[in-house]
Formats: sequence, structure tokens, C-alpha cells
Amino acid sequence: MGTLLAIPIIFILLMLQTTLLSQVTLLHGSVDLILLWIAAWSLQKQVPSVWFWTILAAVAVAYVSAIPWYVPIVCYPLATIIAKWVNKRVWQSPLLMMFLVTMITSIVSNGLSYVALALNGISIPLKTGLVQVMIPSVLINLLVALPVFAIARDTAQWVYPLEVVE
Amino acid sequence: MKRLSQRTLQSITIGLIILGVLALSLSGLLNQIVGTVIDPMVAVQGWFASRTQAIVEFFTMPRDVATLRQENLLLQDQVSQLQSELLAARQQLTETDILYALLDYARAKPENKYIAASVIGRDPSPFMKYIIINHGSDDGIVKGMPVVTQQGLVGKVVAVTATAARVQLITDPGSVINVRLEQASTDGQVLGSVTGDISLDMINPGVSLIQGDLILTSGLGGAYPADILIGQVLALESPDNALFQKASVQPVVDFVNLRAVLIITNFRPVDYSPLVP
Repeated sequence: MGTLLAIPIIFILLMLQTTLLSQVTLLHGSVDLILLWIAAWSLQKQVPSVWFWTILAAVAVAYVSAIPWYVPIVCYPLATIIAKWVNKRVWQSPLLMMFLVTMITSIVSNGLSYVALALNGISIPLKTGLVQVMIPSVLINLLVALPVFAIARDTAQWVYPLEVVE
Repeated sequence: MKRLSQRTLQSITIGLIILGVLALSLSGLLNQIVGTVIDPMVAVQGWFASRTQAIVEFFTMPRDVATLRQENLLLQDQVSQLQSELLAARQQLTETDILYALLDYARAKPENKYIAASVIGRDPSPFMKYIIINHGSDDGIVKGMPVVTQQGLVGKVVAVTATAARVQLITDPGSVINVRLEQASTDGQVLGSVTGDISLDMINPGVSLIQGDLILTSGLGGAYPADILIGQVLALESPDNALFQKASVQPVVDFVNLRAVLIITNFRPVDYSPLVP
């Protein structure tokens, strides 16, 4: 059930991203809700089907977005790997983990997008890209990370309730 | 005889009293007398009625309050429903205005065939300036078709599914459009950027650019039909020793509030890639 839940949730997140959140911008940076969800979901220890969610999200974004397809295909699994790696090392500090994963994955995602566009012949001035898009995107992702993490944690506890140890 | 005379006397007395009362009434004097008697009675009646009403209300009010609350809730529901209907009507009115404007544009250029489409989404990446529209190959839309509004050029279709299509806006950093300037009578290119601004480039340095000059598609390259309005020259940027003149452009289309577009369906872009060595 939890695995199948990925389909409607990713679909809803993608709709929110393309309709509402793509217009809520900080300078020219916007929040990447799906990346944040994948990061937050990967930080939930009790969730067993993280990779299904990650691949589904990556494929959906690669299909909908005009960004080169390999950017989400690389970035989203990378977010999961980083989240799982951080999860093992930062013990019992979920918010710190979320902020850390959000910052790293946002920087990587935006950086990779920039490089991919440059490889495709679309040259964006580095300063403009950095000041107008990348840094604002990282900041707005950090702002939205906390509510996304809270919703992901509640959803994970609802779908996969933790067993009470007596 | 004695009984008869007494009856007669009584009748006469009653008759006189009646006549007297009638006379008093006709003369208006009776009202004063009656008022003197009736007014205290009316006051007492009023006092009694108000107390009776209070007692009746005391027993019936809870039921009335419940009824009133119920009616109030119903009315509030009706108000909410009417407000939502009003909002929907306003929304429809706005959409109708947009569609009428698009229709006017389509009528003004009957040489083209159009399909109207709504904007249903935008690209999730902040680097890309693309929109998603609600018509696709099922409606005859193919890759490369130009997209316009009643104001001017929006972009072109770059990807199509059965029921939707992705449109690259002219503000996208990967967008390059061959243009001509109306007054300066010269060709150039309009380029998009990651900030959503568009700029004019590749203008011959010998040409004197005029602020406010209209920029239209030139049709060169075969990607867009000629003479579609793009914008106006806003500010000139001509650094010394530059190979070409540049200028910032004020687009005519409001890309932030883009809600409906027209796709020109009878235009086929020219694929000249086999000619490129």
C-alpha cells in the first residue's frame, strides 16, 4: 500500500510544482518540491520503498520538464543516497539532517542543471545564474524544507507506523 | 293604564337617551367622554398584553431561536454558495475576455488557422521558461508550430503528447528568434535569458537603433512566420568596439500572467538541418 501511495503523491506534488510553486519565486529561483519530498521521505527510517519513490519522481520530472532528462535521473537518486548516508551518521537530529540534505542536493541539482544546459549549448552567465537562480533556489528550498519534512514524517508514520518497544 | 304609561315612559326615556347619545356623538362631545373612560382601559389592556406576550415569548423563544439559527445557517450556506458562484462567474468572465481577445486576433489574421489552448502548467525547473498547454497531437498540434496571443509571439511547440504540448517561450535562455526592426529596417536576433528578460542582438553597428522601435519576426530560418510582433526596443547597449549592437527589449506579451494562447496550425517550420554541412 505504501509503495502504491507513491503514484498519487508524486502526481499531486508534480501538479503543485508545475502549477503553483513554479510561480512562487525568490528572484528567479523556485522551490523543488519533489526533490524536497524525496529527501524528506528518504530520511524516514521506517520507509522500505524509498527507491521506488525516487525513481518514479525522477522519471516523472524528466518527462514533464524541458531540462535534460539526465538531470533529475541523476539528482533524485543522489538525494536519496545522500539522505541515507546522512541518516546513518547524524543520529537523532532529523531537522539538521533535512537541512543538510536539502542544501547539498539543491546545490548539486542546480549546479548540474547549469552544466547540462551549458553542454546543450545554452550559455547562461555564471554570475547571473548563481545570483538570480541558484542561490535563491537553495534558500527557498531551505525555507520550505521544514514543512515538507513534517508532512513527510507524519505521512510515513501513518503509512508505516513504528512498533512500540515495551 | 298605569303599566302602559310606565312602559311608554321607559321607551321615551330610552329613546331620549339614544337621541342624546347620537346628538353627543354627532356633535363630537361623545369622543371626549368615551376617551376619558376608554384611555385608562386601553392602557391597562396594553400593559396586560405586553406582559402576556412576554410570558408567551418566555415559553416559545427557545424554539424560535433554534429555528432562527437553522435559518441563519441555511442563509449563510446560500451566501457562501452565491459567493463561490460569483467567483466562478468572474473567473469565466475573465477567461471569456481572454478568449474574445484571441478570437479578435484570429479574425484579424484570417490567413492563419488557429487552435486556442489554456496554459495548464509551467516547467518545474527555474532555468527553463516553458509552459504546458492542454492540446496535443489529438488536436493536430505538431512540434514546431508557433504559439501567439492577441498581443504577440509567445514561442513554439517543442514537445507533444496526445493531449498536451510543451511550449518554449521566447524568454527561455535557449530561444533565438530572427527578427526585423520596423523603423530601422534591419535584421537581428532576439535572445531569451534565465531571468526571463529578452534582448536584441546581432544588430549591424552601422544602423542607428531607435528606442521604441517595433520588433517583428522576420521569417528567416523558417521557424516562425514573418511579421508577428515581439516587443519594442527598450534601452540601447552599444559598447565601444563591439561587433554588434545590443538592446534590451520590452516584450508585448505578459508571460507571467499567460493563461490562454493560440497555436498557428497551418504553419510548418522549415527543417534545414540536412542543408547544414
